[in-house]
Amino acid sequence: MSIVIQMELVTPEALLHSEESMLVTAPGTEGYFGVMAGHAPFVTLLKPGILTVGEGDDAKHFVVAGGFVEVMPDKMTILTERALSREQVSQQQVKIERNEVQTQLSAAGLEEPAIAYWQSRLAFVEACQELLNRQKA
Amino acid sequence: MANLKSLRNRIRSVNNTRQITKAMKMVSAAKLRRSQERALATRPYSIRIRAMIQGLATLIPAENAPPLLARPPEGPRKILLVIYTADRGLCGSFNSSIIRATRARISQLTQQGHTVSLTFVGRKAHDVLKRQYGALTRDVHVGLTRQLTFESAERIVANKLLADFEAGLFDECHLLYNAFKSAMTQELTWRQLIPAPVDPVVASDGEEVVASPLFEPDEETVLAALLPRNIAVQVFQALAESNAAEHAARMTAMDNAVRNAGEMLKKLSIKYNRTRQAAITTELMEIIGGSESLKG
Repeated sequence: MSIVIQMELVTPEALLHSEESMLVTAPGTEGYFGVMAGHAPFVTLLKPGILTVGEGDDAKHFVVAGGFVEVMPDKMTILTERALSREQVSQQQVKIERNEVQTQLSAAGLEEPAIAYWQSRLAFVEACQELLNRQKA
Repeated sequence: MANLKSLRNRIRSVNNTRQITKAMKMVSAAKLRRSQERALATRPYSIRIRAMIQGLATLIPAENAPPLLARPPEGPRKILLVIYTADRGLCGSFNSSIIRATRARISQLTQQGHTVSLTFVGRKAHDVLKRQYGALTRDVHVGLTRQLTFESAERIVANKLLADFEAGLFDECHLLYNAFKSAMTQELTWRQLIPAPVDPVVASDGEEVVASPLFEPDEETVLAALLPRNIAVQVFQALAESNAAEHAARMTAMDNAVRNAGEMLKKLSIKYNRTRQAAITTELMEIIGGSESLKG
């Protein structure tokens, strides 16, 4: 059996990233989890957070919004509404987006499902910030 | 000579038409490339999510199925058709084939005793059908292809569908759109949206796509998140496909128009030259005739 797992990061708009990797770490709703080749097949929900492909210094990082992960023994598909690679995340963009989300959230008369939508956007921004902080450290 | 002048005008106008259609063809060709890439890029997500739902649906007993998945009871139902056309015309049979299929489906469903309502994405089908089926129309969404994003498809179309479904305004929903096959062909596609179809999902390479059998935290939670998302994804994918197909159809139609105009121009200029020649000959004859009569 192969020691690498084929991962695909897919948004509704495009197939963003595809790579063979030893280890993929994803933010599930039940907590972060790692997947290696030969993992038992399962499907789970994603929450906004940081997706890591690979290990150590070569690892690639993505910020993902909510979505789904499907794991097969040799293949892993991550379906998410939105994803940004480390290069696409910048302090300036985080600031702009945070402002927008907070204005929306503090607006009067906000109802479900809009509240849920903007809260998930906020979680996405926070995950971006976390990735930036991690880079500095 | 009046005839000569009218021919000259005719040639000029055909030439203008040819230039316009040629420009439109160029524009469509450029747009086609981009929209084709987008349409193809939407397919992986759409196929995976359908496979997951199909896998889940077989695991959940029918009586526990959430409303978006549950089969409605037999007999007369309230059916919503979502019709995708272009916002603009001049794209061959792109819009008319959709309109024809819609008419056929509506009369078939009403004959079976179902109640039909319509939602239009894109202006053209609504323009044609509003006189006949105006009372059935629920929504008309225009201008979505101008800037095609998943977010706007979800916010404008999918969320409205979900809200209407929850309000009990319909219990079955189908999409009708032109799927992008190649630059030359579009394929008229019906896709069942609600209840989510559970037949096997087949990828474009003919291979059956299957989903994993294990779900975290549990089947119901995953399914509850998957189903509304699936609606948004399918609505968006249909939009991207339809948009690519529209540009392909327009490019082909405009290519034909350019060719026709070229042929017409050729025929007209031969006719023009002949007429001009005839006029010159007549004039010469008159001059010769005049000088002959002066001699005598």
